[in-house]
Amino acid sequence: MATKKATQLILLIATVIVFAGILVALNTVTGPKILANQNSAVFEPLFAVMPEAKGFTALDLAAADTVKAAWKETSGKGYVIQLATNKGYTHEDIDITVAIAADGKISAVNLESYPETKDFGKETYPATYIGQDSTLANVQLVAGVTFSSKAFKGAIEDAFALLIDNGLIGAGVKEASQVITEMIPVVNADMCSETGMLQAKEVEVKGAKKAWASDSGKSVAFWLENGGDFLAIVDNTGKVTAYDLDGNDVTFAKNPVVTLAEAAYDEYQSVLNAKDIEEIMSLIPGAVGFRKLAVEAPDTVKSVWAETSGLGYVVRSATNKGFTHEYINLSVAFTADGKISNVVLESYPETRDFGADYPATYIGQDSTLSGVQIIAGVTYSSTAFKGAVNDAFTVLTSNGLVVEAVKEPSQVIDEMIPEKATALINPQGIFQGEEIEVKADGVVKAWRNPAKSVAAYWMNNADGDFLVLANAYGCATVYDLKGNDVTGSQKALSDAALANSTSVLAKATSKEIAKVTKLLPAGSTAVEVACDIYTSVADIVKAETADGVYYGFLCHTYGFGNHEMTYYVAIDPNGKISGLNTSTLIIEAEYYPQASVKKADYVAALTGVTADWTGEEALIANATLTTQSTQTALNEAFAAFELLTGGAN
Amino acid sequence: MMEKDIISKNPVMVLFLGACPALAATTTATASVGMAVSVCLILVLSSVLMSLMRKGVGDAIRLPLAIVISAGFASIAQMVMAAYLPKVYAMLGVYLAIVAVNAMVVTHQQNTASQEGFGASLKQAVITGIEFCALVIVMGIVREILGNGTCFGAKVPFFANHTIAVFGKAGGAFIVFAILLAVAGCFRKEAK
Repeated sequence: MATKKATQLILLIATVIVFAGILVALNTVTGPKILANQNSAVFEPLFAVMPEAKGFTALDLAAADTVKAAWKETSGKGYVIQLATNKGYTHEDIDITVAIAADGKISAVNLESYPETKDFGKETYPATYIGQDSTLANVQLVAGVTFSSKAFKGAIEDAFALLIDNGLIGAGVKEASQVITEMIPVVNADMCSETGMLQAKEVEVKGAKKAWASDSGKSVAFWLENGGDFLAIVDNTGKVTAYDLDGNDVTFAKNPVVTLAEAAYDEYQSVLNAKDIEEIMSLIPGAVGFRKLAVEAPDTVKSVWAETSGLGYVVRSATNKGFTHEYINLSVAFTADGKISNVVLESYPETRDFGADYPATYIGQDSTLSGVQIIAGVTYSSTAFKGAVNDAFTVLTSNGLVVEAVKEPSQVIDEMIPEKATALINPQGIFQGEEIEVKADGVVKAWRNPAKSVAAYWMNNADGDFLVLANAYGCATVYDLKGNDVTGSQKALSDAALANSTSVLAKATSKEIAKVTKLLPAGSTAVEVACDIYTSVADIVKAETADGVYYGFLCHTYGFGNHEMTYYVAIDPNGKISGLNTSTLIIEAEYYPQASVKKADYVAALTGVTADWTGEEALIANATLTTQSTQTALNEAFAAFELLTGGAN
Repeated sequence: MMEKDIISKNPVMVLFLGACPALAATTTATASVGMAVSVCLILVLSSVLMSLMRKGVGDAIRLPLAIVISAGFASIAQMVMAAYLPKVYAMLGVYLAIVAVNAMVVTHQQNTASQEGFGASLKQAVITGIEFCALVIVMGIVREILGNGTCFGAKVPFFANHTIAVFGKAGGAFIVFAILLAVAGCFRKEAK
């Protein structure tokens, strides 16, 4: 028995030894081949862009983040750079392999991976780079796919920069036209798109080699020649800023370029004015002529015109506060007594139509615009339109051209609520409150937010009409119709509002409070704090520790589809976020599967931010409304913290 | 009869032996052929060697010996494929190494090769190998056509413009496998 077991064990061990020997012997034959294959896997993409290459050696050079690897072809034909850029729309890597010949021109480009949501022409767009030198003068971005094409172009620029900075190839020389068109969005934000590209229409102006007018109508750029090439930017007050081709500001007195720019601007204005007058002539029936007014105006107002025989005014406006952030252009005609007589919608780049009849609903309205509604389902566009018309009234009333109409108290209250009680509006400024029935003396109307943490009352008494705000923690504030805090003199109103609020509002649940408290330092005791704020901050707790006082905030905001989103925020004594939690973070992912973020990474990125943050840490690609919800919650938590600490931190 | 046996007595479809490589390594027809041939050779060689050693093998070492043999041949297959068929090797990835403990190979060695003579073991191993190859290659061809619109890398008209991405992923493997199981079920009923 023991002998049989020993025999079997020896058989097993012998089998192991035999196979080991076979594998060792086999490795001497296959080992070098396998190594060569592995190396060829590395070189395959390089030979794909430079098939005539003899071989490659790796270059070990400091490079931009987008450069994964740089190779030199061994017989001097050029270089191959492997790139990965995540600066596109999805922030996932776009992989590129580019071959740059020894003469500094691109000989081949391969797009290895493309995770973007829109196709910029995967088969055709990279090919437009072939033959280009480092100036990339003839390469355009793809309209509608600007983020992706800009990321691609940026990666290629990094490849060139690597080779030029290390003296491996010569830099291409940009034509003056390219320098000028690339400089304009850098020096003039009014002509800079979201992706940093030139956003303006080319216009013909005598005296300038080329000219561009911004879509907002607020500035004009001129390419001028005066013993060299110069760029001059002229804003709508006539102020000139001039630059040479190196980007130096050369706006000094008696600079001939400034004089040339002023002359070109006058020429442009006279053409524009003539064009404007031609376009607005029909807006006021019987108009004899128009003269342009030089007045202080809100951003959306492009120009203000007075009809020369006193029939009224025309205001030409452009607003980009709609859904697409592209300019909606409109012209509004006013009678001399301050009523709208005509409205023309000149361009409408929005995705949803608010109806051909909508502009006509403004006709006959005075500066209160009380008879005008926002269109359900097209809220952003109609709000932007109404805002532009409101600005047109503002420019006329503030300059004493027409008399401002008196708003009804109901309108004043409606307009005051979003300003004083942000708990009742979403981050885009759209009212989310629900009307509640309140049977009490002096209460005309009442609303509360869906989270039931804040109520707003329109109340009146012998002294007039008031907006009274109350929160679930027994705080109330009274505002008169001018927006002044009159709580001290209207105690009866605040008491009445507080008495009613106990039945219509609800404090935070113990579960919500526990989630906030959990973010505070372990072992500390948290107590609730009452504060007269009416924002997304629905509850506040504080904990005194040896390091100072920590505050925890429960915030309710609105995300995609106005779904309620809840945030639990802890701020340390230094004003930094020390803890953060959320519930239902990415509702948008239900609708846009490509919007995604790991909650742990998101929270980590936001931990440590302070009140002076830019909001960038909250950005989630493809989830703008969720991003704005987070930004609102944190900004209002910071504002509450500042109020509680007296701004000491 | 042979054709019916390939379906009704297929070890993968009847006993779910060796299902892992059948599901994981059949994203393309080329990968399927590579896996099928590798598994077939490992099965045959392992069975032959185990059969030759069967008289000295007792119950105590049958399983460890079977695994040592199949692992040895799997390693040889890996090295040869990495050296001479690197592209196919890259497609198979870790699933070629897993053949070392493939249930179909190990079970065959334990139940058949260690008890039958050389001729019978060889014949059974070849038959089992052919049955496995048939299933794996069919799965690979179907998944590549539906998932990628190609067959062995060549574009297939109509399917090239109408791909269904799920068939290139794990879910698609299970869908195709389930359909083939259903077909096998029909053939088994007929055979009875």
